[in-house]
Amino acid sequence: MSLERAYRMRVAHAEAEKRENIRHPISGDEMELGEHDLTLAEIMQDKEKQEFFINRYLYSEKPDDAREIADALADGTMLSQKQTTLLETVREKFNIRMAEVEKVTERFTPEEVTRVAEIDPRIKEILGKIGPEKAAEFLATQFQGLAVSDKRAFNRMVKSMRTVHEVSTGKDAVALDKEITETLSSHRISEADYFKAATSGLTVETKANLDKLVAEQFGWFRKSVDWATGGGLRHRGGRELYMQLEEQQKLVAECDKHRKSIGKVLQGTLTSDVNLAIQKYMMEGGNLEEKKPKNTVETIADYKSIKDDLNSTQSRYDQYLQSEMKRRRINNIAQQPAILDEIKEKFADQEFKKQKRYTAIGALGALLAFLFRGRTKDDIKNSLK
Amino acid sequence: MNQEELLSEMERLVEAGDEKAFERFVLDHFTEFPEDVQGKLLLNFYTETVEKQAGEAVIADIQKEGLDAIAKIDEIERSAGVSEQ
Repeated sequence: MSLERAYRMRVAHAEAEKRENIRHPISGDEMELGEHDLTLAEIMQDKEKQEFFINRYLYSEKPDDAREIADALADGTMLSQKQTTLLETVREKFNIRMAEVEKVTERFTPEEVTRVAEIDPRIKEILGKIGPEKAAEFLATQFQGLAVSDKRAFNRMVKSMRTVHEVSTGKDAVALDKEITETLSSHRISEADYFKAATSGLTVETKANLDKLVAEQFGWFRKSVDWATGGGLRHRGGRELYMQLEEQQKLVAECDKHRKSIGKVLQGTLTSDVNLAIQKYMMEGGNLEEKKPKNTVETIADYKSIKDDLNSTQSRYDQYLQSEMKRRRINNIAQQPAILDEIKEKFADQEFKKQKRYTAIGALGALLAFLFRGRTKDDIKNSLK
Repeated sequence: MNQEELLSEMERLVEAGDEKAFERFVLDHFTEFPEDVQGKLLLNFYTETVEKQAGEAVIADIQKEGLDAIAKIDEIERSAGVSEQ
């Protein structure tokens, strides 16, 4: 084999391996980077791509490094070897993320947005005002921004889209609910104890208990489904074993045990609070720990709390300054302007990072956007007295 | 309404603690918000809807799986010659 041919084969193998490692975020099929297979130079020469790469993607992954690199680029300073290596490592992930974003945003078509609007009257109302084309364009733009700056939100959205793509129910929800009610009734499976916890007015404590019960029942459900689909009878040694009355009774008892275990979960799918707990359990990967970050604004109370926090920036800074002076053993900070500036810079940076982490659900997104609109790190620093 | 007026009215509704009225106001004045805010709101609503759809799909999947399993358990009993109790 010629050297050139061997080289070409190696390149082809590397390309094939790369393709295998890159998957369509929703369908799971192999995909190629295509036009997103960019070198560092290509990214840095394109203003928009550079903004996405450094100020959003790298910032979300490594904020301190991103800030130093952004400062160096703004000052025209040479990047260190360590910084260049970091950029090269992050570049590969960034290219994949951009290719994934393209695949997801391809689904934001006017037709798809119109279909989703049929499910949510709020979206339908918005489409009535701006039209499906503009809505699809807004969604693609916003999603692109979110995908490079908020990994968690990106993963959550993609997971939901993947689930919808993978699960084809065949029967509608009403027909399934009816079939379950009839099946449970014909087998005389009655309401399980844990549904009592879901009657009305769930407190945080009962909600946590309900979540625990759902997790326990779900473990039994899986075992029972496996027992049935794996052929419970075969595992027990064949039908001959059950010719005797005693063995038949054992089998009946075992079938009954598994049916009840499945029945409990099926019954739960008909009870709204348990249904939600099951969805949460399934969508969050079976981990019942509270994964929602504290900086998600879900209610007016959440918003008020963030606003109060914003309004108390100066008093929090005063406390921070006092603790820093104590830590650095400084009695009169006015005589140390460089240190005072350093403390202000650090505090402003922490505040700015915190502000960037806030997200809001639903209509509260409008308020949150206004609350921090245009508030830069320098604005925070300059406001400190 | 200009942006100050929008913000002031939203703040008033927030102070009143009426989330439904707040959402109604945002929808009624949707096109008066800056485009990036419109996009954020739309993505928020869209995400909620897709997550709801995914949750429902998951439940439907569990229901089908459970019904199939119960049918199989019935079959296990029958194939062993056990009459239903």
